[in-house]
Amino acid sequence: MPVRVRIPTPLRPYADGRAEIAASGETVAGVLAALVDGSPALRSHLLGDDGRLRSFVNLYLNGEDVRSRAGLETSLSDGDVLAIVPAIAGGADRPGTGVSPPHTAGDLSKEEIARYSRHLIMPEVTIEGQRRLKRSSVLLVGAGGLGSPAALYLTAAGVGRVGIVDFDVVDESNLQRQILHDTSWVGRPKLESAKARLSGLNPHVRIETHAAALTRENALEVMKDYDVVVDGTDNFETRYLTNDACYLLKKPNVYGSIFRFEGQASVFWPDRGPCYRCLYPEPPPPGLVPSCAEGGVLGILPGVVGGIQATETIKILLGIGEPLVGRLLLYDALAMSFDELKLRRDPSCPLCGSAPTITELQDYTTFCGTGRGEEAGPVEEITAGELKRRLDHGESLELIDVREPHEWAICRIAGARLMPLGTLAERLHEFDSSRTYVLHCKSGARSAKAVGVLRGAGFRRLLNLRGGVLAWAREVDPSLPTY
Amino acid sequence: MRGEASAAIRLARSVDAQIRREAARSYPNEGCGALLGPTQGVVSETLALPNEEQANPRTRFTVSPRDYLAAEESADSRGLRLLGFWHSHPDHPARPSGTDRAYAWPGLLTLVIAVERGEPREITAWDTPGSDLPFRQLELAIALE
Repeated sequence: MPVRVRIPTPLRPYADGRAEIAASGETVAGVLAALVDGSPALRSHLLGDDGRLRSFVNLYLNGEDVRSRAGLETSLSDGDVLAIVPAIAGGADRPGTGVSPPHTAGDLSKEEIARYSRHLIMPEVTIEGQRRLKRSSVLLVGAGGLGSPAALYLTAAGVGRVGIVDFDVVDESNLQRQILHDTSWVGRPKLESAKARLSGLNPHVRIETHAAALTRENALEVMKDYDVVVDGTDNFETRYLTNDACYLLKKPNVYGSIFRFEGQASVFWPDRGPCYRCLYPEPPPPGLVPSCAEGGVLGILPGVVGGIQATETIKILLGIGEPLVGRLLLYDALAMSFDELKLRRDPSCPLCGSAPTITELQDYTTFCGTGRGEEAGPVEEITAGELKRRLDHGESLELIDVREPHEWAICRIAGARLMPLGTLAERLHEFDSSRTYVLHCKSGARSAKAVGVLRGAGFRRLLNLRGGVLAWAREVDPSLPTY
Repeated sequence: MRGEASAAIRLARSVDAQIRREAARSYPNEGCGALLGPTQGVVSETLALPNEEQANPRTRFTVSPRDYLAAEESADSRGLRLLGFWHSHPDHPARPSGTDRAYAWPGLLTLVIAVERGEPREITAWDTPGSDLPFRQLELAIALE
């Protein structure tokens, strides 16, 4: 379909000064592809490395936001007008953010010298070290609990380029620990919030945003231009991917992980020490280790662990001190104790051992088993409203709540039975394959895993409550307290 | 993108007056508007736009995509250019914030006006030479029409 694409003023220099370009495609995505094909300079201003539309860019089809239609998949008709609209916003935020003179590579302005004076007077850093930081770059994988303190401290410290990979939006439940984001950013992309906060904190630092999930397709490309990678991921797939990509690119990987009251940190530095696979050759079975969303986390914990990651990163960049290579630091907030385990390189490690079998990035979904449920077909879902209707019609459905007892104590759906996810495997004998079970948790993720566990045991009549008890509270029983 | 010759911004006196008036009128919220002109660096008119920010209109401003398109259309149809946008900082200095920086587009001018207890004060002009580079301040001259 030939359509007219309106080019906004700031992008016209990349489209030979044109205000409008004719392009063809069946969908919005197709037209965008044709557009950047014809005007390649536009690509980096419109699309991220993964081909998705950049944040800060809106698309309006005949005056209507394509997000309110089918997004990039919205189909087009002859003569449609597709307008590219830059997001225009800003505001005072808070008082007193300075502004720098033009960026000069590696050298420090008078303003920067004043800003970093407490570094400059330390013999381990000096003005030479500070220049070195300015010439350096760090990539943070994730702008969440660990990424927040790490990004803030690395930006404040004057690392020249700070890159962040994230695709999430700020949720209210993030604010208890993800101190990069404040209340006014709830519902907006974490990257936009991070860029605003970090640019305000230190305008001398270049903040680079990568709006994408890290995948085997984009990981090497995203990481290749950075000196150090900080792993602030919350899942095993991305953690193994980060580890493997760092090893293949020979970049230090500053690792941290957190759960409830305990944290771990280490530095996986290719050819100098072990990698994450030497420590954990295989991920745990899916569903066995709960995530922070499922098991909870002390809000301050990522402050400690992310702070350790920032410290290790600065040491690596400055080339000072003893990096946490070959050592796994264990932190227990309840005991308030630090412990250290020695880590050795595993000669049989498939990635960094003497006869490696992994020489390129893998399929991490299969490796981590997280795709198993999908292979058996998608998990069948039921909405809260539909469940209510079927129960009201007297249908015999067994409600199984797979959350933890302390969550159950906050709120529950009447008639449900509590069977925490971790106990399911031992309680399979309590299930009857002739009955239909509706599994639910807080928002639907754990119960999807529970469906996988029961399917694995041969049960077939399984429904997952979409959106969990939160959806039930929203759509059916607003009197229910939520958390 | 911008040559040395256009590093100073010329603001028509009537535009300066209108921005001051609109910024004072919007107080204690932030006010905003589009900047139009015949060529880069010469601002000959402003279109006041509603601040669409719902949650924090005292510390943020948002221009709706529809208003953006209307402003651009208004410029294009009359042979003018959409040069950029102004917004006010109520009870804050006329210095761009981190959020201003995050939303800045190379090629679009950012004008910030401080409003102190309802009174319009200093206006400053800024742009960025690249999407990851810091703001640089531009000289601002008030010109007779």
